[in-house]
Amino acid sequence: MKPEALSAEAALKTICLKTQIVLVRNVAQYPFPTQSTRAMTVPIQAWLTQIADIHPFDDLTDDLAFAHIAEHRYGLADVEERHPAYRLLRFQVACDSGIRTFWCELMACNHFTFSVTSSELDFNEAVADLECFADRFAEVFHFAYDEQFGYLTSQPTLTGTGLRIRSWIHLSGLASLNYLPQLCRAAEVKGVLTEYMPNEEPPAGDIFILYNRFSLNLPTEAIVRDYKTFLLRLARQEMRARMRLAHDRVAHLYDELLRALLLCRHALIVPEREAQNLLSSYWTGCSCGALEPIDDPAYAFNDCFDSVRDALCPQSLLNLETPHALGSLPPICRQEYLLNYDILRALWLRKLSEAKFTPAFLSRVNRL
Amino acid sequence: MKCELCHQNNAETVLYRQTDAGVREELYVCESCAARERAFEQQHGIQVAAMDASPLMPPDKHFPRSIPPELEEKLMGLSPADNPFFGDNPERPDPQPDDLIQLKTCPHCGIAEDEVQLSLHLGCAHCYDVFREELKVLFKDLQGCTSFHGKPPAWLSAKFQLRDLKRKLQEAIEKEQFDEAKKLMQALRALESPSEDNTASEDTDEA
Repeated sequence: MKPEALSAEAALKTICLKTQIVLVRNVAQYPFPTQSTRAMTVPIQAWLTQIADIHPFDDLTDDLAFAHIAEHRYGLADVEERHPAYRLLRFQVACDSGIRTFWCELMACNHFTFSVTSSELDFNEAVADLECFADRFAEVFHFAYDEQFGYLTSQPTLTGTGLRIRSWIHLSGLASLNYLPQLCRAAEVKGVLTEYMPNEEPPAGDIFILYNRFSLNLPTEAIVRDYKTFLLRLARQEMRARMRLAHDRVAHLYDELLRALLLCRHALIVPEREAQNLLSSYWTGCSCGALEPIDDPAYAFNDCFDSVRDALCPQSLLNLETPHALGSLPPICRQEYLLNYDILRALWLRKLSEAKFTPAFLSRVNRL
Repeated sequence: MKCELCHQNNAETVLYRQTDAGVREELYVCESCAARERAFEQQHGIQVAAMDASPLMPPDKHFPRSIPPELEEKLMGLSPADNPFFGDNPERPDPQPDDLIQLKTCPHCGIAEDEVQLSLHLGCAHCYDVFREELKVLFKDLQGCTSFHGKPPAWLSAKFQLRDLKRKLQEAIEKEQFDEAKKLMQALRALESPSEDNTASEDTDEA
């Protein structure tokens, strides 16, 4: 299907890596994390026993190998910022829509975060399943609730429904055309915020994190509906921006893609941020019809849970088997590659250099 | 702190003048008194410096060239005990410290109101009761509204239903709608004790 003919949903699927839906709850009898003390962590072990009675879980708190990718892949708490009493529990729950993986993070002593992360975009179903899951805990733990303000949390921005929806969106087109300030303003009007300030450098790989601002004034269904509506409009704008790059700014796009492919072919040392940007160029070229994607799912865009970008993390690079194209490295790099993540990354990116320009795009280039 | 000249307005600036004994004194005065003294200075050649009023000579170099008779009469006409400028007046009230600002504090977690405003974090669920009025203003800014419109938790839904039924029952009794009241009473009993209701219906069926 031509990029121009994509529906809004298909466009959103093209640019959205993943979405994390979070429900925040606090147990009523204890202070919030900002005022809690170590002594208040004592009942946690008993609570874990009660939780196990509700539904069996995997306790991944002490799995350090998983901890490093938990934040990157599922949007969970960074291992370095964890409270001493932090617990990470994984549940596999049968829902109407199938088996879902839910995460329960116990922060401090009384703060529960229930979340689900997926590359699928049926937010309504995911939110409904997550609410059912959280309600099971409500039968055991009395969550702090107020008739006027709803579910009570330490942060006023989360009070109410306690719902936070975060999406990782690839916005290379809008970034290239310098439309980011307009994006931030439009998002704010629609009750969506970005983890980006207009005067800052765009994030690595042009992956922006968007989230809902309001959690109090509307029920969860309305929050989800408004958020999704904004994302669909954003997706359309992004695809239009990419088409504009491919048709009106051919020279710029050709130059960018050529640089990216040449770097992937010849670079010996590639830092993580630069690798993310090279991937971004590749994905942009593929989505606007300038590049033919290589036939390797390890380099596809949204192959579920962001495993492509995950491959660029140091922990994943260490697990690479003998990397291909090792012979293309000069001797000095062959000696160092096992210790240098940037070299490993450069080797991993070699495959991208096999991408070819499409005939349609080349004909536009030759007309210049 | 009140102005040391008029004792009515709050003190906003400092005046420096030299006493007869040649000692520099400080007076904490309001703007109107400071302006009056400066005007008096211009008329009578008395150097009166206000610290934050105008760039005058440093206080150290201010000496009255002479005290005009009117001022001397004004200042000296009073006994030293009554003269607010000179001497220690035992009846003169001690300068009071600024009124202590009483901050609200949550009795459960101890967090104070200013801490909440600075950090935008609350300490516990009870803080929402203690700082309810202040939070309404905060929520209006942050979230555009001050009340929750979502689904209450299940354990609270039953409570809402009970309260609603009791209210309707009371209204039906007042309006002498006894058939309606009877239905509401049955619903109320079913909600309050569902197991007893089931047992009763089973007995009825068996009979």
